Formats: sequence, C-alpha cells, structure tokens
Amino acid sequence: MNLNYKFKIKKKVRDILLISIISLIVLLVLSFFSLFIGSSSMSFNDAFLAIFNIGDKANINIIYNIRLPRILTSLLIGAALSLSGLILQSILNNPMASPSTLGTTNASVLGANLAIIILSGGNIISVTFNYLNSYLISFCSFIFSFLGLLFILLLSKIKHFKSETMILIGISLSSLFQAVTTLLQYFANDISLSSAIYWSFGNLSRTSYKEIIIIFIPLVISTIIFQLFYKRLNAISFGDEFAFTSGVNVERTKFFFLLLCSIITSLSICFVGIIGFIGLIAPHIVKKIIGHNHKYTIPLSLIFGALILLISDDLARVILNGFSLPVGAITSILGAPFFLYLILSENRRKKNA
Amino acid sequence: MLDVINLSFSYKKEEKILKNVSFNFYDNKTNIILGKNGAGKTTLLKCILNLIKTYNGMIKIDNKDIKTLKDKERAHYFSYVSQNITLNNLLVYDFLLLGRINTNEFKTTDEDKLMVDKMINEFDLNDVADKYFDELSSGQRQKIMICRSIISENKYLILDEPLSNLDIDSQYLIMNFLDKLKKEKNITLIITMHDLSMAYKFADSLFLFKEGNILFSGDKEKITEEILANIYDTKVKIVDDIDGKYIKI
Repeated sequence: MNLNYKFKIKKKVRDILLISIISLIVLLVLSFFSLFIGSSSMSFNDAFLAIFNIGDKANINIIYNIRLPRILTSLLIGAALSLSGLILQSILNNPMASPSTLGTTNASVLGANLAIIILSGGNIISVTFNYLNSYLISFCSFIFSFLGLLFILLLSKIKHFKSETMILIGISLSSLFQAVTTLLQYFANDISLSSAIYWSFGNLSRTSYKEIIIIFIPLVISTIIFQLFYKRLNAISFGDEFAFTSGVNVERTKFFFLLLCSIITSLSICFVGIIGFIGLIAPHIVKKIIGHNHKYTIPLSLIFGALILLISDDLARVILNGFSLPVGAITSILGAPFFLYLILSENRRKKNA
Repeated sequence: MLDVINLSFSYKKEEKILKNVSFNFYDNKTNIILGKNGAGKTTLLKCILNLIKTYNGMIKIDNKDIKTLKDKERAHYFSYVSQNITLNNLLVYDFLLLGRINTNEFKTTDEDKLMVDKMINEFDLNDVADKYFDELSSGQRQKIMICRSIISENKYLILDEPLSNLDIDSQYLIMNFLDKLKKEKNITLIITMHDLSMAYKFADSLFLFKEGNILFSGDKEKITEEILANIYDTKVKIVDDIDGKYIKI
C-alpha cells in the first residue's frame, strides 16, 4: 500500500495550522501594542504602567475605557464581517457575495438615517426621545436591517432559496433602501444631514463594554455553529445540486445560516456604521492562502478580518496627529492593493478547464 | 427496482419535456439513456433525484414512491455525478470523505478514513489524493467524483453525460472503470450520453428518448437499426464483429 499521499496531506495541513497560529500570535501582539496608540499625549511608559493599573487615574481610564473597548470592537467587528462574508460566499455559491449583497446593510443605513433625520436621534436638542437618545440610532438601524432580512427571507422562500434569485432580490431591495435613504437625506436639514453622513463613515469609538458583549455573544454562537457544520458548508460550496443529492437539506441550511450572518452583520453595523471591504475581500485573502476547506477558513477568516480592521483603525488614528480618519476608507485603501497583488500573482496552473 | 410510471413534465404550459413515459431500470446493470440534446434525458434524472419536484406521474423505488422518501433516505439510495459543480480548492482526500456526509456529518471516524484509503489504493488514486480538486484534469475529476459516490455506498449511481468533456482515452477509461465497479460493488448504473457507439458497446439496457417520448427501453440485443436511425435521423448500421456487435454511423 502506497501511503505517500498521507504524508503529503499531513504536511499541507500542518502548513495551514502554522499559518493560523502565526496569524493569531501577530493579532494578539498587535492588539497589545495598539493600546499604546491614541490621540492623548500618553508616553509609552505611562501607558505601560496604566495597563497594569499603576499610575495616573486619568491614564488608566483612557486605557481601559477608551482604547481597550475600541480595540476589542475592531477585533470583533472585523471578525464578524469577515465570517459573514465567507459564509455568504459559500451558501450563495458566489465569490462576489458580501454582507451587503442581500440588502441588510442598506436597510441598516436606512434605519439609522430615519432615526437621525426624522426622529432627531443623536441630536442633543431633541426632547421627545431623550431617554432613548444614545441608543435610538442603533436601535432603529438594527430593527430596519432585521425587517430587511425578513423581507428577503420571505421573498426567497418563494423561489426555494435559489442562489441567483436571492442575489437579485438582494440587489433590488438594496437599491430600494438606498433610494429611500437618499430621499430622506435630500429633505434633511444641514445638521441632520451631516450627522447622517458622519454616521455612515464608520466609527469604532462609539462602543462601550455593553455593546461589545452584545456583538460578542452572537458572534461566538454563530462561529461554533458554522464550525460544527463545516462539512455541510464544504458540500454546499460545490453547488446546490451536489449538496442536495448528497443528502444535505440545502433550503433549511441556507435559511438558517443566512439568518445568523445577518444578525452578526446587523449588530456590527448598528453600533459602528458602515465598514466596507472586509466582508468581501478578507474571505478571499484567506481562501487564496489556505484553500476552501471551511474547517480552516472559518477560524482564519475571523483572525484575518480582525487583523485588517485593527491595523486600519490603528493607522486611522495615527496618520494625522490626534485626528482620526474614517476607518471604512482606510480598510479599502489598505486592503485593495494587497488583494490586487494576490490576484495578479496567482499561479495560472491552478485553473483547469 | 426503479420504475418510472406515466412521467410527464414541462417547465412552461406549452412545451412538454417528458411526455407520459413509462419504463423500468434494471438492477445491477448498466442502463444507458440516449437521445439528442433536449430530448429529456437530464430532466428525467432530475425527477428521479427530486431536483425537480413538480412532475406528474410516479417514480417508484423498491415499490415506494420516491416523493415519500426523506432527503437522507433518498441520498442513501442514489448518488449523482454531474458536470454541474463548482470547482473548489479542497483536498481530493477531503472531497472523497464528503462521500460519508450522509452517514456521519460531524466527526470523521477511523472507519471513514479507512474506506477512503481503501478506495485510493484499490483504484490507483495515490498520485492525486493529496492534490486539490480544482487542480485535476476533467478526466481525473470525473473519476474522483465517481469514487466519492462509491464511498457513499449507494445502490444507484446516476451519471449525467459523464463522457462529454473527455477525450477518447479517458472515455474508455471511465466506462471500463464503471463497468468494473458495477460488477465488484453490485451497483446499478444509470447513465445519460449521446455517443451512440459508446452506449451500445457498454450498455446492458438502452433507453432511447426522442422529443420527450421513449422509443425503446430494454435489452440492448433487442434494438434494431430502424429505431436507432429514428432517434438520430442518421443511417446507422449494427455490425457483427469478433468482439461483439458495434455501431457504425
């Protein structure tokens, strides 16, 4: 019996695990050093002491109530968007799929704009909804994205969750939500309009530990579920026909997994705004490096997504002294060239007829 | 026994793809379905596999209506090999393991690995087992997809135009491979193709479709040149040779 292939396979798996562990270490180290980046004039030594709860109370406060939440948020949201993109690309059998494909992103934006422009959310002048004020935008954003999700699930059920149909429905709904948003913005006053636009830039400093927990729990649950069903995801990524004839209940799987992806995406957007690029491209970077086996791409997507957003946010805070740039733009500026490099250096040998 | 009874189907109201066809497939035999493109071959397969659910008539397996089967039961009976598949960068070994997904979805057991290892050695896949699925040639891919089906231990192996993208060498390789599998593993083959000569050479039973109607079903020996010519609108000659009969067009 020639078992040479077993050694080769073990080596390939070992390489994948090595890449994963190294990425994780890089992530943890970078996260730690991100604590030293910020707009306050804290010295390296002061920051180091503050991490261990020593020294100036103001510094400790900055570390633990401003910088650490921000870092955790960027890790979680990067991970959530990346995972969501990966799963959507598999279940819709389309490499162009991303969290925004099915319209839930634009529904979130609509909800937020509604809150800001019509309900004057986030506006200190507003009296009526004052007690809800700080959460009004997030709340409306999430509710609308959930409504958008229900809408697409109901419509997709009519065509038995066929992938192309779902994408077309998503694109249509997406345009619809965006159009209504545009109308709202057209009739908004200057203050509301600039608030709305500013919200959509993506801002990782808006969250406290409460929101972090709200994002964290569904993300962990979803990750565990997806990881458990990695074989099913592998089967579905070969096509609905292949998966169905192998015994997988494709419709139910798509429904349930879509639900999970939308929840983790919506929770990310409603607190933080729109962060583009990661959901679409991070999964592709991962797949180009380690292949398409969900057993490994799920954890690595989380790590890479977190890494990309963390680096982007660090840069956004550091580039202009003391003045943060919108992180959503930085993710694209960083990520696009890197991804272009990966595409253009791709080994043509791999693509057979 | 797989029986098709009064099967009709159309996508739109006007044009019927399958027109009230009835016949039986023969167990442990090579059943080959022939016909021009659009004659209804693929549609027939999709009805059997429940990829199409809105047909009229009945398909019975071991005297059970296939519509009453659960998805897992159906996947236990039938395995499907088709070109309609997205190419993914998955290890061939892991792809073969997917053959066991119906039995055991969550954990890869030693028994699963043993079956795959046996298959790899039995059918000479040692060189490709550690490669990725999208790195293979179409002939190798076809072979691997067939092997995956064997691993899932189904009674019926259904192949939709498995020879279409292959050169002659590979075509013979695959057909001989299937023949060997049929005998060793006691499975029933249902294959669609449009190569007349190939079909006649390897079939036990032939099923000839024209425009949604079945013009012949049964033992290959019983077919006549007239019927064959009708299907393909071409002169066909059945030639007797030392190796057996073959078709000359």
